[in-house]
Amino acid sequence: MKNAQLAATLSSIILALMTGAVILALSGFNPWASYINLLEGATGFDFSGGSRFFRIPSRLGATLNECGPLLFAALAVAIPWRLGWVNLGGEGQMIMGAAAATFTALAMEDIAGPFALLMALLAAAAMGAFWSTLAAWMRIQKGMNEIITTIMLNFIAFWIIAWLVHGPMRDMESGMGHPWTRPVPDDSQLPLLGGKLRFHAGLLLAPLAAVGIWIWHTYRVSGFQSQVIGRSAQAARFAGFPVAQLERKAMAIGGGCAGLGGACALLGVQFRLSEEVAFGYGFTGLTIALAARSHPLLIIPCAFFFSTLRTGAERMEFSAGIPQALAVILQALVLFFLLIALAPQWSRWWRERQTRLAALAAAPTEKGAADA
Amino acid sequence: MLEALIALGGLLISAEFWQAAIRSAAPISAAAAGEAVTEKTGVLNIGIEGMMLMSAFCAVWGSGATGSAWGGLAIGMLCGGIIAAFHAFVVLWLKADQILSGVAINLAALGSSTYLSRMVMGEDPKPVPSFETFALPLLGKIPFIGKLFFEYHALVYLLYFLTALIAWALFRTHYGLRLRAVGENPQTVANAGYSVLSLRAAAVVFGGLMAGIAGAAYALGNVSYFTENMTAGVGFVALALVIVARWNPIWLIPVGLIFGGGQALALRGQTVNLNVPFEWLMALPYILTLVVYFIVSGKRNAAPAMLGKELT
Repeated sequence: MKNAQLAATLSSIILALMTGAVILALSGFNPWASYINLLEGATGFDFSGGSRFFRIPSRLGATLNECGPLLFAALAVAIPWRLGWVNLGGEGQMIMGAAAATFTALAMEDIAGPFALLMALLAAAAMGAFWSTLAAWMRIQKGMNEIITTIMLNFIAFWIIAWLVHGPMRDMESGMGHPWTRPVPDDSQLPLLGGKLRFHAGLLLAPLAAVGIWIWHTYRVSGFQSQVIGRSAQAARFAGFPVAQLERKAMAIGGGCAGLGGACALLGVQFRLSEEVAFGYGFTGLTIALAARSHPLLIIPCAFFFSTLRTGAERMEFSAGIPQALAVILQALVLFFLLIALAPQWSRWWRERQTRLAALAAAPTEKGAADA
Repeated sequence: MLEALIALGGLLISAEFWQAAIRSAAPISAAAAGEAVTEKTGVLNIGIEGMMLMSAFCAVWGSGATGSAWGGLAIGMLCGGIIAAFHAFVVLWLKADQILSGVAINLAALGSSTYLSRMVMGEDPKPVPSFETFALPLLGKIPFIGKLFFEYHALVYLLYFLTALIAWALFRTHYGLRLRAVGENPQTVANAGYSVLSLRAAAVVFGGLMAGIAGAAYALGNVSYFTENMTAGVGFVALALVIVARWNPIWLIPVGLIFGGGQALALRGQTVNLNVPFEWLMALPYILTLVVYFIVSGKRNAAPAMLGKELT
């Protein structure tokens, strides 16, 4: 990423936060106190000058836990993006992945343990990949727009899960009346790490995946080929690259990542499958991927920032009554400012100005030459 | 199994079912007609979902504030137009990515409509004035036909009329010809002495106004309150239907009934014993849209030549 793009990303985030402050002030909240509240809620730090600065470590853990699924959701957007595909179906793929993970973990209840966990993760990745490959197949075979198909698949996935948790998989004994499944057994959950912080192993899994994707993109031939497809599919076809195969592969890996993200959210935090398992992850993942310009390594800090925003906003609604939807607004604002900052028209105007200035500077000398 | 099939058959030939289908198809057809105009000029507007959602909120708020459903409709329409004007500014003037702008609009609409509805209306919103369903005198008395065609709220007639009007204007007027030409070959239009930019901007804003009306109809026609994310992907369905109808608004009227019929089945299917889980019925409209989209796509491409291309 070039310096200009990095500057654009950072200034978009700052501008979005400032606009958010204006929104908060207009709706009658103190912006500064609200943001402090958000930060306290997301990190567990205590900024009021109390005796202990790091008051509630588990809140930082909650933010870190959010990081894993968000990172996966961002990868699900970023990988197909390299080929010029817009995968808006991250949410549906996560939902299906989470469902597959739950199903596997519950089916292997008798042999709960690391093996069951591994199988659950694999099942989630396979299911997510299947769900995104559907969209890939529809586009490659029939030329259907992947934006529309992935969104439709999101809704279909949502209602499938709604049916599962209200019907066949509903926990009737210990469900306390909620529409959700039985919890996955303790031994099949992602192991808790980090002592007091209490974050789970998904936090390690996701960056590993991101690094793997980065290596693929940077050092493998197929990574280069997919970039060529993104720049010009025609050139890629002319060069004889297996375009359809690479496209299918990218969508499958993206969907697999989303499925793993769903499994992370489920096996690491929620434990019971419910309708809200991946609520809003899809679009947050998109924002992260775009803010990082789809660079697999830059996605990592971006995911951390947006998970801070998400968990902080959640706590903020709890403690100060500020609607959580503020986090969504801030995400949209980051996207808007980024879009405007990176619009190609600015550089075009700049070039035109340079040409004009150069022409003005050149004109008198020409005149002088003509006189002489 | 047989009983369920008989129940389904009975449902499919009942006037109530088709009435519900025609009613729920109206906003989708109208929004899709606006989108068809936008896309005919070569500009893609993915943000139609967000425009509908935001105008649904604005319409409910406006209806409460002005005390009249028509006031709500006007405010909802205005809201759709303003968002579309923003899209036009970003996409046409700054030449930014069309898809990203649309996605950002969707996200912003989702966030701000939820935020504002919490702030303005609180936890339990009061119903606001909405469009009442009434039977037309005399015509509404005809058995079956009366229920099928003459027993709606005023907006349903308006929306279908607008859809047909757009089809006529797009294909039978000079201005419509210019709009279509921009989507096929902007250079020709520029050479003929018309501004490509303003034609496109007009089409985008018009699409936004239509999405605004549709969103208002969604909120004030079917119910009289706003719920979070109440449009639930209808805007994206409209995008699919535009392709299915091959960018011809007149075809949107029958095509809209696919999704409308699915929604009606989800709605009315709960009243009869279909022996099918409620959630399957809810997924049906989306599955139907995908299936129909799948069937019609891949043949001769009817898309405007400039659609999705980088705007210069």
